[in-house]
Formats: sequence, C-alpha cells, structure tokens
Amino acid sequence: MNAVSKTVRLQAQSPWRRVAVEFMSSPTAVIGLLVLLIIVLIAVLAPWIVVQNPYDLMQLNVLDARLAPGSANMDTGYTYWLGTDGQGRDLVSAIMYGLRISLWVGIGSALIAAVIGTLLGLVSAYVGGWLDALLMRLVDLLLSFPVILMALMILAWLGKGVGNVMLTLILLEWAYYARTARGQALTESRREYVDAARGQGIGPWRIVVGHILPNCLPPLIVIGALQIARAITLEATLSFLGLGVPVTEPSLGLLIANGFQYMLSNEYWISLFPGLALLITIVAINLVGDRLRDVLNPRLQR
Amino acid sequence: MQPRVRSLIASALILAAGSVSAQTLRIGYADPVSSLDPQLNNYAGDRSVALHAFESLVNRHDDKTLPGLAKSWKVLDDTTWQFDLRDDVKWQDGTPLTADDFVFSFERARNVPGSVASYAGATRTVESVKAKDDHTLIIKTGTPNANLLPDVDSIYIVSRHAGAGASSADYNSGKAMVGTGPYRFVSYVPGDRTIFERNDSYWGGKPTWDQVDFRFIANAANRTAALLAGDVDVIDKVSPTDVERLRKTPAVNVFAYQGLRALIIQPSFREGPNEFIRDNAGKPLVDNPLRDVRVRKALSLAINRQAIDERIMQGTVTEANQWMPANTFGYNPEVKNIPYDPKQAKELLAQAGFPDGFQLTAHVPGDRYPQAPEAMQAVAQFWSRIGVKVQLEVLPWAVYAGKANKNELAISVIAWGNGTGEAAYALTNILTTVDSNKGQGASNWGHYSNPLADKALIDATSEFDEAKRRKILEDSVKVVSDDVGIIPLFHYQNIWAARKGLKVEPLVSDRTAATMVTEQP
Repeated sequence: MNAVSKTVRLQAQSPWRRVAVEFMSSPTAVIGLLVLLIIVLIAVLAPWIVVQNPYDLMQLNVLDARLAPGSANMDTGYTYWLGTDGQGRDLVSAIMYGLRISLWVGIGSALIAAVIGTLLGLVSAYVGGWLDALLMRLVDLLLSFPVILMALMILAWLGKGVGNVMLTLILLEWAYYARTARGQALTESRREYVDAARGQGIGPWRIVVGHILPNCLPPLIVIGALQIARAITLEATLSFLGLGVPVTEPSLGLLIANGFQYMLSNEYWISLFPGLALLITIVAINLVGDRLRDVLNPRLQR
Repeated sequence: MQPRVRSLIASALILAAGSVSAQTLRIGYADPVSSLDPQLNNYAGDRSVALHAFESLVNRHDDKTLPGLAKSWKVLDDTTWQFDLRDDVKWQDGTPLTADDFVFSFERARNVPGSVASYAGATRTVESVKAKDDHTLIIKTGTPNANLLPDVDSIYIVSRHAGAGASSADYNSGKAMVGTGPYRFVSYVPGDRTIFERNDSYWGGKPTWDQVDFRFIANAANRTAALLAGDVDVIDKVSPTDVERLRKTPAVNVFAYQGLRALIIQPSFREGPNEFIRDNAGKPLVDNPLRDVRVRKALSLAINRQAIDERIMQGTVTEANQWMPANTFGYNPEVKNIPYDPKQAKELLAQAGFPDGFQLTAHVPGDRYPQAPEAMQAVAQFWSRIGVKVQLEVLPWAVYAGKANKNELAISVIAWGNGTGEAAYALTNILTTVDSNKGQGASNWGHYSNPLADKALIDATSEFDEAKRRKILEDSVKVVSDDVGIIPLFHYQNIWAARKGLKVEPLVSDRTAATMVTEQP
C-alpha cells in the first residue's frame, strides 16, 4: 500500500516537469516556442498595434494600391513598411490580422476536433462491437479521401466563411484523434490498473475518463500540435483557392492568392511577406510539435 | 480515318521540322472551346477557332458591315433582303459554294442538337432563306429588321455536302470540317489545341501562315509566361497586371485596342424587401432603396472611376459613362463622364431618406470577368465612404449566374460584350423589360424596366433610315443614363502581345485568329 502511493506521488510530480526539462534541452525547440509565443502575442494584440484596420473598407484607399515596401501613406503619413496590396491595404496590418484568422481557425478547429475525436475514439475502444466497427470504418473512409478534395466538397455545400472553414476542418480532422485515442485506449484498457479500478466497482465512464484518458494524452498532444499546423496550412490553401474567407477580409492564404497575379510584374511583396509569415508560423509550430513527440514518446527514451 | 492520318502526318512533319519554321504561327488563347462545330455554341472561344475555317455572309468591322461571302446586298422591301454571292468561292475540298449551302446553314443554325448557347437569337426574325439562283440569296424576315446584317454575320456558313446529317462530333473529328476560310483543319485535341494549315485555294488571296498552332492556355499568367519563354508567338487577353512588364520587355510588343466589352453594375429593381439590403441595425429594409433614382445616382457619383482605371486596371480600360464605347453606332457623345462627387452623393442619399446610409451585399463572379472582383472591392471602398456599408461576395460563375438570372441579388455585375458593335444589342438583352417570349432582357439581371427604353428598341428595329436609327439609339442612351438604369464602370481594352516582328490587328471584337497577325519587319 505504502509502495503504491509512493509511486503514484512520484508519477504525479515528475512527468510534466520531466517533459518541460527535456523540451528545454533542445535549443531549436525553445526558439520555435519563443517565435510561436511572439506570433500568438502579435495576433492577440493586433487590433491595438496596427496602423490600419485592414478589414474596414473606410480605412483603405485604392489610390495607395500596390505601393512598394517603405512607401508613405499620402493622407496620414505612416509608412507601409511591407508595402500595400492591390486594394491599398497595409501589408503589416493585413498580415497581423491574417495571423489572427490563421491561429483562430487552426487552434480552434484542432481543439474541437481533438475533443470530439478523442471521445469517440475512447467510446469506440471501450464499447467495442458494432459501434467500434462503424466508427472505425467511418474513420477509414475519411482518411482515405484526399483532404483538399473532401474540403472542397464540404465547402461547396456549406458555403464560404470562417465558421464554415472551421467546421470543414473539424469534420476532416477528428478522425486522426479518434484512431489514435482508440488504439491507445485498447492497449491501456488491458492494463492491470484498469482491472483494479473495475474490481473496486468504479463505473465505466469514470474508468474511461478518469483512468484511461490521462494515459492516452501524450500521443494526442503530439498529434494536436501537428494538426494545428496542418489546419493553418489547409485554411490557407482553401482561401488561396477562393473557398475560404470573404475577399474583403483576407487571411494569409487569400493575401498570397491576391498577390500571385502581380508576381510577373515584379510586385513581389504582396505574396512574399504573407507567405513568409505563414512559413514562419508553420515551422515554429512544427519545431514545438516535433520536440513534444520526442519527449512524450516513451519508445524514444534513451 | 483519313483526316486522322492526315493529322498524324502533319504532326509528324511539325516534329520533323525541329521546333517550328518561321511560317508557323503559335497562338496562346484564353477562351475555352466547347466544339469545332461553328454553329453549336455562341461562345467567344468557339467563334475564334471557327474564324480560321469558316466565313459568313458579311463581315462586321467596328460598326461597319463589309462584304463577306456576299458581294453586295439590297433591301427589296421592309422584310425582303437580296444578297448577291461571290461566284469564285470553293469549299476547301474543291466543291463550288452555292446559295443552297446558305439555305442549309441557316436551317441548321436554328437547332443544333446539344447546343447550350444557340444562335437562335440571331435568326429570330428570319422567316425564310431561299436560293433564287446559284449565286443569289433571298432572306425574308417576319417583322422588319433593320439590324439583319449584324444578325446574319453571326451565322457561319457550313457546306451541305459535308454537313448534312453531321453532328458536332463530326466537326470535332474533322470529318465535317470543310469551310471556305483561309485555313483548313488539320487536327484538334479538346482542351489543348487546334492545328490549321494554309488553304491555298482561298478566294481572298494567299493566307499569311503555312501552319497555325492554336493553343488553349486558360491562365493569364501562364499565357504571359509562355510568350516570354518563346513557347508561343502571340497571346490574347493579356492580364492588366502583366501589361507593364510586357511593355518593358524588348522582345515583345503589346497591342491594345478599344474593345466593345463594358463592366456594368446592375442594381436590382425588385420591389419589397431584399435580404441583401439592410438598415444599419441589420434588419432588411421594407422597400428596396435601389428603386429610388436618387440612391442609384448617389451610388454612381460615389465611384472614382479614374482611380479604378489607374490603380486596379493599370490604365488598360477607359472610363465608361454609357454601355457603348466612343465612336460606335448609338454612342451618345452628349452623355458626359460621370464625375467623382462623394459630397453630392451623400446629399442625394440624405434626400432619399438615408443620411447614414444602409448595408448592402454585392455579388460578383470570381472566374469570369478580368479583374472584376478587384474592381468591385474598390467600388465597395467608395460606397462605404458615403455610408453604404458593402459586403462583397465573390462567387463561382455557375452559382452566380443562377442567382443573378433569378433577380435574387441586390447588386450584380455584368461584363457586357457589345458583340454586334451597335447599341441595340445591349438594349435587347440588358436594358429592356424582361420578356422571354419576345427574346428581350435575357441578361437584364436587375429587371430594369423603362417604357421609353422598350419603345426605343421597337422603333430602332423597324427604322431602316440609318441616321434616324442612330438618333433613336442615342436618345435611349440618354434615357437610361438620366434614370441610372445601370451603373457603367469602364470599357475593357482588348490586349494582345506578340513576339517582336509580328503585328496584331483586331478583326471582330475580342476574337483572336491567325488572320489578325502579320509579319512586320
């Protein structure tokens, strides 16, 4: 009895600290995390730090369209440090607002998909039988379709808009979590501690949520980090294809798409800078995600 | 089988010649082709391809009618026209062209199986087409139609001996591709290219090019890149964003001409509430404010057309104050450019009962008209400055056209091509009261209706005196302009670019064909 409670305490104390310490031991991951924090900070604070609300048509002036980086605004005198797009939008402001949409869509859809997918995966594993078969075939179906094609079909049916893009991403992504959660839960449910819990007469839901779920979390966190990056890329792709956000409220993908037609005329900045912003965000998230995978995966432990 | 063998030999010859000889012209064009059948669909791409192999009774050039396969014509009475045909024209297989082929062509054009954009409109007044003798054709119309020449110009003449019983597929395979035009068919790969060779027996003199390689390149940037890389000699529909770059390239010449296509905003005249017009609190307005001429005028005055021309279209368009460009039949020079006057616009809105404006959702197709979404975003900016808060929705053409056609939108946009070069064409299709039985208002998406405009079309159609007809049309321009029945934005230019040493001159509207390209030392 004493020995058991000691192990439990040790486990309760050390894992997250161990993870944090191991995470910090990789300089690239730390840089990634720092960059990510700065990006999140910019996105959250954007409305208070931009010189222009790029989504307010009143504040745009088409006479300032396609100005090169460093040009000055005629009316108010502030400088367009990264130039303007085809409608006279300040690209610094537009990128900050674009990051807001990207992160909101990416994190929001990944979190909701994670909750739904994990629950369905756990239920599937615990209940088994026909429900398990049904859910897993549905997952197979979703995973076997090309993602973009699927997204195009769903959006063609739902219509455009940020909300619908998120819904599409959730519909596509929950399957990854469900499959991982199920696999993990099947392994865990054969462990002795689950038998012990059962023996103590604890109800099935408390076993699933209170005992199995916490032990399934590490791989799910890794998937979550990578899925955020994937969701952001997918949102950018859909907007690039003209199926995402409204044209008057461009996200990073739409900014890149809008600038694309000016590439041959050397007005590179309209596509390039939003593209760089997207690239940096994705790389930062992936650095953090990769490191999390390394430190959370017991098989990779030395 | 034979045409296929011939095309194989021809393509083998092209390959054998290394890249290409100086006598081959390679054109990269933008408009998709639905079929080589010149009578199937009235599409820009189909018409451009057909121009190589087929001809019509007359030729339209700007607003003038020139002889084509008919040497001359006269009006016998209000409803009877006589066309004297050339007697030296042979089909590309050697058979002489006779009046009977015209009878066959007009019969066939009315009803080609599988057509989704037929030529029925062009033959709507034609009652009968008869051969008086081998080289005289009599066309009778049901009602007097002063506009018959532009109408018959749309109908390509196909031969009875090769075309009787031929389906559109027979044209695509080359079996029925026997024309009278300057180039004869060699091969066709749908969605990719059509190859023609010179018709040595052409009645109009020796055609310039030995071989024409007519390639479909849908994307504007890809066309520009293909020209810069030397993959093609000529491209059409150059994107405004690439014009400056191409002008600066020494190896390339840019040819820009005044076109007949205008970008026009059509406000909806539907009565009652419209889900896309709301008050500032977001509730749908009980009455449609766009029915008030002061509101329409305010919206028109609020637009800085010069800024759109310079900053969005990069100087490749001309400001529009009416639906036809200057120097065309029916253009009214007394209607002046619409000034940019946000102050007056605000006053007019206040007078109409909207001192603080209202909310409006505008729609524009994203995949149809060059730079239309960009231009409409700028319009949205200008409207927001007078208090009309605009949300702009960019839709795929297929979705947009369905909604616009049913007058479900508040603000729709159309790039109207005045294909016949005179004002009555737009009057018929976008300005007169919608009436499908009369063939009127087919693209009048806002359901604009003005008895004076309706009357002008009736008067112009039956008026044979050209000066009087011109006056009627010019007056109708004034009527629509005072009423702000449409809000014209700009007239597109037709822009081609070619490698140095070539010259491109427009033929008809924005069509592209090898006959437009000559060598220029």
